[in-house]
Amino acid sequence: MKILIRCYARFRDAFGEEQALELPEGATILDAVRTLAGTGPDAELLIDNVGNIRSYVMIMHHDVRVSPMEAESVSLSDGDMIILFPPVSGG
Amino acid sequence: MKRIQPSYSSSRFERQLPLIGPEGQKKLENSTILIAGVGGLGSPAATYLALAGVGELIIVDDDRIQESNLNRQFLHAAASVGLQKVYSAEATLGSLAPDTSVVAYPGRIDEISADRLVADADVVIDALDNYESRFVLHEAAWNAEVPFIHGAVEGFSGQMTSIIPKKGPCLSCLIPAVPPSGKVPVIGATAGVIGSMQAMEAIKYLTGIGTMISGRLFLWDGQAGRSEFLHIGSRKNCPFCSKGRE
Ligand SMILES: [Zn+2]
Repeated sequence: MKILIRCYARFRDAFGEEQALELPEGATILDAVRTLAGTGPDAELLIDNVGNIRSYVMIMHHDVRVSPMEAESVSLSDGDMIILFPPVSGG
Repeated sequence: MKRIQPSYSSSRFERQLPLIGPEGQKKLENSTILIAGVGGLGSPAATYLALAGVGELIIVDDDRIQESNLNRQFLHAAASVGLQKVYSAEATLGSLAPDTSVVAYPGRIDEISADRLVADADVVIDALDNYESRFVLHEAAWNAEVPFIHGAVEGFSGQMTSIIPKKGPCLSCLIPAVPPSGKVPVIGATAGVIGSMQAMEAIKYLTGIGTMISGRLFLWDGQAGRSEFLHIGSRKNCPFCSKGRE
């Protein structure tokens, strides 16, 4: 199946504005984020060294926020879109 | 709420009175807003609030002006490098809007100063540049039940939301964790957009007009030309605001 990931701010700099990913049926948000992380040189922005999504990554799926800890339990469907945003801090 | 009534001529607010009415104008004149940070976000936020006729601005910042601030912090003139930001901001605001009284505090936001500063304010504008100070000020505003209008920027991107204490999610519900960050690059116009939105939220809250950006986080990427609203309720186990909530 095919899903779309749209990235904001620092994530957009590292992984592009929008990427279509080809994933196996039953793939979860965690799988999608790990796959995306593998497409750029800055994987550690999104995942830590044991493959968990970093706690600050804001994930939106179907207008609902998904916490990094829940990402493994949310399965994706063909055509789904995920939005990733890192909180920014400057003033 | 404060006491001095501004003395502007009747045409000063002619172009906004049809929108907010004389009652709305009066509410702005009787209001005190705390502007925490007079840098990139604080410059547009404080300027538009003073120009709108807000009666009193309390401005807080412990920094001095550096040359590298000048791409975005338009409250400060090039010749003011080295001065305390709050005094330069006070002078600029005084020349733009002489009937807005400005209280300048050149200190840090910490547990003690935050409670005191928030006590006098009807609205708090979070124009700070780090989460440590933000969470301290947010806690003071939450406890005093003063709305906390959060904004932050980096590069071409920004975020903002209005926290209405005890009526919606708190800042920790919205932003449970933050990435490490040092000095971030920023285009001046990015801070212009988000700081102006913060001023708009304050005007809406004080006049009771419109719908607040509350319970949702506005995300904006100016480079991609995209925005989203992240809809967020209160977190069930929020370490900050879930105490005493069912
Ligand atoms: Zn909370």
